[in-house]
This record gives sequence, C-alpha cells and structure tokens, in this order.
Amino acid sequence: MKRQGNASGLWLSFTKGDRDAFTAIYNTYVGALYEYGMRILKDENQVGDCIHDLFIKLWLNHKTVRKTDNIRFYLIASLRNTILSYKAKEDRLPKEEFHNPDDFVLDFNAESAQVNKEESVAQSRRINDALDQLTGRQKEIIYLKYFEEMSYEQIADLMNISVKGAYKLSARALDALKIIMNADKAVVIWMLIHYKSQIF
Amino acid sequence: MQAEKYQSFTTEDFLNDPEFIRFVREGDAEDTRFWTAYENSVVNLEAYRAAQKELKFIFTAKRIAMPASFETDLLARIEQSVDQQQRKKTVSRRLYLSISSAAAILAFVLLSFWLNTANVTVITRYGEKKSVTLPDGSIVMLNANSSIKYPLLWRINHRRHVELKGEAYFKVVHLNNDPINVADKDRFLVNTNRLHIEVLGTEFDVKDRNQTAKISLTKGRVSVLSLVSGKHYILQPKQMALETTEEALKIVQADPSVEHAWVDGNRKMQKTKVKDILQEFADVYGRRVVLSDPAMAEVQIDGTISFKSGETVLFVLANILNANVKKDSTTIILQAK
Repeated sequence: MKRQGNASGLWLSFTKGDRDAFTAIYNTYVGALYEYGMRILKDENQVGDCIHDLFIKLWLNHKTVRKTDNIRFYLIASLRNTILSYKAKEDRLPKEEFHNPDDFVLDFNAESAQVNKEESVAQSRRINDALDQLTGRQKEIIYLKYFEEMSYEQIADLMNISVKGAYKLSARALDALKIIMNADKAVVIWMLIHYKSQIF
Repeated sequence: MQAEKYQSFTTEDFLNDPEFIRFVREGDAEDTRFWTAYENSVVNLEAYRAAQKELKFIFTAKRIAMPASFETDLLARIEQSVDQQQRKKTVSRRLYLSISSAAAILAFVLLSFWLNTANVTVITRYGEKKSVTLPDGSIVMLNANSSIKYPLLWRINHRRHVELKGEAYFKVVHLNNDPINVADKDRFLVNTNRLHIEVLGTEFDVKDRNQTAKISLTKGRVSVLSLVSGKHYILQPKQMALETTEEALKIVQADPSVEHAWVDGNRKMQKTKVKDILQEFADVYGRRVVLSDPAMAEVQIDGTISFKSGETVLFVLANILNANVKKDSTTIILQAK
C-alpha cells in the first residue's frame, strides 16, 4: 500500500491554496479512487464525473476543509458520499434512503483457489446461497479491509454503521467466502459464469 | 513479533491480524521466515491454514487498474474547472467591488447634492416673531407670517444667501476688509418674490407682501434690483426702495425707525390711512377687519400704535374711529357708533 510520507504536510499546503499540492494529491490518490468508484458505479464516465466533482468541491472549500492525516481515507469517504448523492440524484431518491451502494464488484479468481474434489448438489446449493448472501456491502467491507487496509473504526465511519456492526458484517462476509472457496471448482466456475452480472 | 500470542488464535483472529494479512499478501523474506518458523511450532495449525487459504482467496480478487488516459484526461478537466471557478470568483469579486464602489460614489454624490441643496427654513405664524442668528453671526428678526430659508452648508459654501417671504429686519455682519476686492463670500444676498438685494454689511428692513415690495435702509449701502421691472438702485441710509403692483421700483425718502418699528412691537404712523393699517393687521394676525362705513378706510392717523397684540390694535382703532368691535368666529367688524 502506498503511504504518503508527508501526507499531513501535503494536505496543509493544499488547504493554504497550493495548486501543486492539490495536483499532487490527485496524482497520488486518483488510482485508488478510480478503483473504488468503478467497483460501485461500474461506469468510467460516471466515476470520472464523481471524482471531478469531488476535487472541484475540495478546491472550492480548501480554506475550510478539515485537517486530516489520512488523505486516502478522507478522499475515499468523500468519494463514497459524492457517489451516493450522484446516484440518489440519478435515481431521484432522497439521500437518506440511499445510505449504501446496492452493489459492489469484487471478482475472486476461483480457479487459483484451492478447492476440494467432493461433488454434490447440496454443496452447489450452499454455494448458491452463500453467493446470494455475499451482498454488495459484504464485498465492500472485504475490499476496504483487505485492499484499502482500513480499520473497523474507519469502515464503520465510512459505511455509516456501528463498529460492532462492521465486525459482524465482516465476519459474515468471511464465512460466506469460506463456503464459496471450499466448493467444487466446476460449480464455482459455473456460478461465476451465471451470476457474474448480479453478484460478482 | 511474538509467536506466543498466535498460539491461541482462531481462523477469525488470523483474518483480522494485520501482520498475518501483510504476510499473506506481500510475503517478504522476513515475514516468510517468521511464519515458516511459526508453522513448525504451531498448535492451532488448522486455524492458521484455513485463514491463510481464505486470505489467499480474497487476494485473488481482480484489481481494477485505471487507464493512463483516464488519469490525464480527468486531471485536465479538473484543472480547467478549477481555473474557471477561480476566474468566476475573481470576476464576481471585481464586479462586486465595482458595484459597491459605484454605489458608494452615487451615495456620496447624492449626499453632497443634498447637503448643497439642503436648506434651513424658519417660519413664523400669525402674531409670532422670531430672532434668527445666521451661521455668519448676522441676525434676522422675522416678523409674523413670514419665513426665511438659507443653505445648510452656509459655512462650507461661503455663500450667504437668504430667501425671504413676508417681512424681516436684517443686521448683516460685515466680512469684507478690502472694498476694492469683494469676494463672493463677502456678499450677503436676500431674495424675495420680487427683489434681489445685495449687501456687504448693513441694517435694513425688507418686506414683500401683497401689492408691495420694499426695502428701507438703516445704515450702510444696499444694491437692490427689481426682478419684476428690472430697475436697479444703490440705496443710501434713510432711503427706501418701493415697488407696487402699480408702480415700478422707485426710491423714496423714509424714516427707517418707522419702517422697522414692528421689531419693537409698534407701528408708527405719519398720515397713514386706516386701510393700510388694516392690511398690516391682516398680514400680521391673519384676520380681516370689515369696516361698517367704507369712508373709515380713508381716515388718516398719526402717532404710534402698539402692535404687540391684535386686541390692542383693534381697541386703539375703534377709539380713533369711534366704533365698536364686533367679533364672530370668522370676521371682525368695526361698527360705527
């Protein structure tokens, strides 16, 4: 994971109106923002719009924006809010009815995972259920925890849930993953093909 | 790292342990050495393996890489928007500045205009007299039913200019020290309906009511111009300039103490007709007096009548004319006995 050595210094320069610092922040974090945005929106143009709006808002408010040591978390949390308002506007939903993205893309490569050889219809049903249970929010929490390396506290803050809720959500997601992972390779591949559009 | 703490770990504990996660994801040499050693001494190998397997599975998740063109295009777009915002801000700040300064200038202009044109007005009612001290120290005694108006910024403008309706006695302060060079600020101007009067420092009585406009000089010199007939004179003391509806401005000899006797509340008469006294009574007290016999109007009177109150005037006149005073709500009648 990329860590900005003088992140708070960079942020401070930016809040003082330093355009170079602003550009540096963009260059450093746009990759992470793109990936996270794509996982929710799945549309490059929409992601571009949201990141654009986020950075314009940042620049407009650079004098009043709060101090942060964790620019990465701040930006991802801000992007998430930007995306939610963007989607709410698009779906004509009031914002409070749309606290969380309904879908989150996280494609696991089942082939490379170790799968056991046992075969059964019952197992395929279990996988099916597991995949259904692996909701967008569960995939999101796995992404934030293992790829963005966020703490439960940060995840709770970001996803508007309690810290306890974040632990629970993560534990259930890991359970569901275990089931998928242990399923037959062929079944998983079949599942991946058939459910990709909805689930993964 | 302490290997002991991991001995009691469940799969879930391992999955939440940042050190373990880092090892599975990145697996650098030091981490691998530690965890390989751990694997050989571990009691909860099953939990460890399960966690490792699940994490490995998690890390098979496909990453989404950003195309380089997306990064550069978006940056260009953002920079453009930021520039635009900044321009808009500057423009609106400039616009705000120019609008507010224009408003300030307009307010200043209006204020100066108002101050330049603003006047002080002093009015007397019927039967009332007032003494007004002007900003230059000149004194104006204002007779009843009269008014003067002078500029508020008299001192700043150095323009001594009084407009008069009715009658007033002026004691003008002399400011000019050099008779050859008379500055504008030295002049004292009085305008009535019909007369334009210019003085430097004198005492005079001006009256402009009804059929008659007149100025009589006590001391000094006065330039008087009739705005009606266009006639112009320089008055000497004890002269009076008089214009009536019948006659253009002319100079007559007049005792100034007679002309401004009203200042002390008197009316001096030298063969003055009753009708003229009644006219003055109407001017000062606002009441018309009707004579039961028109011949009474032509009666001439000498001497001094106190004009301090209307009652006194009527009482004296009634005695001279041998008449009774009859009053109702609208008229006063001098009824011959």
